Amino acid sequence: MSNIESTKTSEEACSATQDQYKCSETKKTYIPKSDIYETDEAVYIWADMPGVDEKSLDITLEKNSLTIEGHVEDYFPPEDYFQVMDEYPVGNYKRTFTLGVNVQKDGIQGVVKNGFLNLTIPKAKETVARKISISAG
Amino acid sequence: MLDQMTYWETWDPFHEIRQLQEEMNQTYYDQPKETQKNSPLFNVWSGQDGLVVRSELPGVSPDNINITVEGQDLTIKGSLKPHETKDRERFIRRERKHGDFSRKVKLPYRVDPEQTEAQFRNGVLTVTLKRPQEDKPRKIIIKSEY
Repeated sequence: MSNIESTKTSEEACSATQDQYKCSETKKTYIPKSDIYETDEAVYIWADMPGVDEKSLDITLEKNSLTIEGHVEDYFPPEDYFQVMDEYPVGNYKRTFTLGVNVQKDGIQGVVKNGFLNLTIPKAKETVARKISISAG
Repeated sequence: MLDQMTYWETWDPFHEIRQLQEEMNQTYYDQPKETQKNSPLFNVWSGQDGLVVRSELPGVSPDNINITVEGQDLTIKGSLKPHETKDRERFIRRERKHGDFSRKVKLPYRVDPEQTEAQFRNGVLTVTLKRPQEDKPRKIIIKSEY
């Protein structure tokens, strides 16, 4: 039914890659919260990735796996400042989505603004429902 | 940890319970989130001359963020409009929050509203608050006994 499902957790994704240095970093990797919305023409992924811009975001497509990866810069408070409230953790982002076969892989587009990623994945032409006209015989 | 939190006088023991409840609702009922009031989370640093408050507000336009400072209170309010979608049924996954958000915290000391600066970059808000000059801790020189 759906073209996309999210499967891997960040840990799995981490062990799946051979980039050991990325996994051994002290900074943790988090799964960005995402909405997936489907229309007749396309599938949209909207992901929250605060701290990420177009330069620090990587989107890779390998076979049917679409991976979004964001690198967040460390924040350094002014000198002599100490943390008095720690409510949210800061880390990098990584999430892998599995695409169905019926998407146009060349047509995938991503826009990132205000730490929010908007991905558009167009469906392949043949899967877009077509109206079949029936003529009376 | 707890000491630091209680020091802020705003530590709400029910916050975590509410958060858990919200997560449960989200998981099991997938309720529309428009009606739920969100409160953004803060990371705060303190120093001799002031404070730095940071909060993640991904997808929010800077025009939709309202910051007010009054005495010891810092209030951050705003809203995140959901994407215009014709049909709610066509959501395959819905994890992001949207709608109105607001948070008020009591700062450990008075800050000067005139000197407050805010920066919004890549969905992260950074508010820099300065302590008024007259309130800054002063070193007291002890006069020597004769």
